[in-house]
Amino acid sequence: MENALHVENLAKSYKRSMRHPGLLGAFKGLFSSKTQEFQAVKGISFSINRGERVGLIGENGAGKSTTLKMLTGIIAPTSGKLEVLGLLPWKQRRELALNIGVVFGQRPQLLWDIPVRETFRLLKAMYRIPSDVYEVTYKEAVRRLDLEPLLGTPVRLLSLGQRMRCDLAASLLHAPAIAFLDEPTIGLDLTVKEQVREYIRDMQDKFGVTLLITTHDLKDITEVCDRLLLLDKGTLLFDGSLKAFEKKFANESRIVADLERPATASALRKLSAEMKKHGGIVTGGEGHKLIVSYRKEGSAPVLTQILLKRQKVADLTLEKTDIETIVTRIYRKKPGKN
Amino acid sequence: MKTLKLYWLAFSTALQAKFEYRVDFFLGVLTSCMLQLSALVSLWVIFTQTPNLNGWSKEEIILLFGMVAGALGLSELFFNHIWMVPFYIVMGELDRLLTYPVNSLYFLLITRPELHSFGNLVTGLVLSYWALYHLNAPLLYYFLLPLFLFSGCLLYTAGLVLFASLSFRFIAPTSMHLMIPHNLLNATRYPVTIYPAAVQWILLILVPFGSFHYLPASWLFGKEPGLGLALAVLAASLVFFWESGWFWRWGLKQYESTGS
Repeated sequence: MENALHVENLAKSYKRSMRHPGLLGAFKGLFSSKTQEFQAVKGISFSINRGERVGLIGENGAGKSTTLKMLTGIIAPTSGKLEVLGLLPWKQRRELALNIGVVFGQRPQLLWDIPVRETFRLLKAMYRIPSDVYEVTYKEAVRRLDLEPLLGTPVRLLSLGQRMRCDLAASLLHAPAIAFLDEPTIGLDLTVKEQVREYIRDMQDKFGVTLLITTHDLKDITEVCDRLLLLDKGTLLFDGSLKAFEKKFANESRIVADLERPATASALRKLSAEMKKHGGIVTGGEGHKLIVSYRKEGSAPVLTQILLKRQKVADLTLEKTDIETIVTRIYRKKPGKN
Repeated sequence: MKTLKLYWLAFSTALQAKFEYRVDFFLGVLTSCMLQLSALVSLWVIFTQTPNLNGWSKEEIILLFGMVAGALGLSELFFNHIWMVPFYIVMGELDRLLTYPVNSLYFLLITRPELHSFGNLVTGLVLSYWALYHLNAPLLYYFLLPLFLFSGCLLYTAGLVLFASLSFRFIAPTSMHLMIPHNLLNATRYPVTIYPAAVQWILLILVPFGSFHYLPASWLFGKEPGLGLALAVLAASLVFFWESGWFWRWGLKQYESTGS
């Protein structure tokens, strides 16, 4: 498969001037020029093929946006190799810009004071979008994202959700080879989020757009992407398919039972012993609630049977750890987290 | 050609946005007219004391005055966005611009026209042509005047670009330092010969704001340099403007955006 982008030992560090506390300190800062280096991205490597749908996640300050800005040519890397569509982003920025689409969820990409329609018209000229392509992408965006009633409104009068829909449409009008979407669903309500995801998926299907999405909403990833990059403090913690991610980190599933009446201590002990033989651990047994957790895949039927035989069960749920839980756990458990 | 069309579309779209704010437009035009007129009044005071200034008559000075106002007006009309650059750098707002497949400097320059400029532009044109008429200037001069204003506009804008590019290195949320080229331009309302030699050198060679009207005017009044030198200013302004792009690119290399 053709390579869309390739990154090797990519690093970026910023210089921050040292600050002294207080007003007096701020005044001192006027005359001292001590700087401190801050490493935002510490040498990451990965490749993305054409047509892949990749999610980039990580906590605030993990280096997601910095990575995206280097890939789009907005900032130059401090060191490392970097190639997007065969181009060197910060050197061949304009050429690259013609073939990529960019959304920064935190900042509007559209001209503030003019109606959406005018902005689209300007973008059509700017990206030299052929009329037949524009015809499709424009219509699709208007239909899928309900833009019709917004087209005549100046961007500054749009709500966040409306603006985001327009922004997204604007960034995909030229059916780019790669779309870099930085938090495309930030601050949106559930319906709009769903609409946005559907649109992205649709554009991906139609034009084979390669997607790189950063987000804090893992549903964006599970519903749109099939590969995950996990950044943490500037290093790449995981790179692989969603399945592999679950396999690597989601090694625990649970059976949660609602008992008709609380189990006695001795019954609980016996149950625990039998469960243990089949790889289950009774972790919670307070009152009516009973939790059995296990690690081996395919243990659920046996463990459930044992439970049903030993106890009167009113209700039963099987819980698989979802990606969101895993990610939260990774963030929380990380060694060296300060 | 396509590129020119795109820039025109960008300019007219941005201009359209500006008309959204009507009151701002009228107040702005009024203010810039008043500023020009108040400067004119101080000039009038000078001329009640002396019949000429360093050998320049009232009409001749008014020509310089008008041409500076006209060049300033043109720059504000087409290229005023440059004043926002220091703020954009601090806020990380250049990101959007840098995702567009266009020359970032030129596209930035033309996408925020300042309508107040009509005040300066109109005052400038009226004063210049009034002076030409009273000086019995040859017809050729009437036709060349817009060209000289255009080159003045390019020179001044190039100066602004140079100073704005410094903001990439010395980040500060103000455009105070852009007042330096602005004040230098205003200094050239008077014939440069009234200044000490060092200042003359600065205004004619180093930051040649003084040249686009001083040289042509000198030629008109037979005070020395000829037509050739006046036209050379046109070419020089184009080169100067083009070169200011180097400073911009030097600055962009250091652009760090902001977090998130």
